[in-house]
Amino acid sequence: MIERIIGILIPPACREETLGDLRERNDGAQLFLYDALRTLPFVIYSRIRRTTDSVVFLMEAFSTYISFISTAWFLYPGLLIGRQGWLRLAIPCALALLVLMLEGAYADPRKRWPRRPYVAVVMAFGITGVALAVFPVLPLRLVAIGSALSMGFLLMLRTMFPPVSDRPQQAQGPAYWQKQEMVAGGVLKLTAAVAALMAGASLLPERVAAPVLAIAVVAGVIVWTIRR
Amino acid sequence: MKFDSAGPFEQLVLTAILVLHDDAYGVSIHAKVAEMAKPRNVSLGAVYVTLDRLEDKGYLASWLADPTPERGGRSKRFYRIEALGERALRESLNLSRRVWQEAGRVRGWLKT
Repeated sequence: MIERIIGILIPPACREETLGDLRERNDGAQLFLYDALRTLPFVIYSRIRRTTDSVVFLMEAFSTYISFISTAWFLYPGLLIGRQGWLRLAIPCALALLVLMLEGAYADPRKRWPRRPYVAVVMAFGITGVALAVFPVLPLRLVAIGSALSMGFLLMLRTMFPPVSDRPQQAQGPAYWQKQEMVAGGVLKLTAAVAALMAGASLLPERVAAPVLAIAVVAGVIVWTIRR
Repeated sequence: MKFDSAGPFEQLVLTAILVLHDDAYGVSIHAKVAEMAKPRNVSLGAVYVTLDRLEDKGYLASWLADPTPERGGRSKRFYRIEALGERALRESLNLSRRVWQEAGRVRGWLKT
């Protein structure tokens, strides 16, 4: 029973060998569960790293966020002036991208389906819509129109850049995404740092936010210069 | 010329695969790495992540073997070190040796 549940949680691409290794290492159910829970985050992380193209992911994040911002600009301009408005607009983007990322990691490479990338986009925004209907942090009209716009962009992007698992691979050569990862690894970290900074600053009082942001940016530039 | 190198943990994993030769799969690699890394604790997950990364770099090749009963009918994924991986390991070890020699010469760690 435990093995079956853990099996569902392990991405299909590495399920066979991971479950076998865990079974070989552990005799009892408790030991198996403990070892599996320690191993599982690493396995999922590794699969996400292998199936997420950081450049395409950044493009998807940007186009989704822009869709929601432009929708808010026309329908609810007050949201862009109010504090935490920009942060709230990022919630559906983050949710949808998380679902997309997990969908890519849990895709079975042995079962190829040409429509999978498109169905994944619809599924991601479906889940996001349901989540935001239950926890209404944004007006539903904005979520609906923003999602529709985002889906348009993402479907176009996924037509141009299919998910990594669906791309042809060179036998015995470095993986396709390896070249891009080397270029974009720093960009992804920088984007995450900027997003964290913006999120943190939006929670601070207005008088403090600007100097804190300025100090953080200067410190970031200094650290970057030293590390280079 | 492009310089292929491997980080300290990657070196451990590559060495374990080199030593285990035909019997290099998840559990055996982890056991060998844990033995070499003592007293540092090494998790199985960290070994998986490194194996995937090394495979992406083209340092390793892997394949699934036939299922075995002691693993509940599950297959093992075996790993083999590729020429690129061997070169990276050699380069990294050479670099470490040069660092050791230079630092040792200055600090007097090496007996002359």
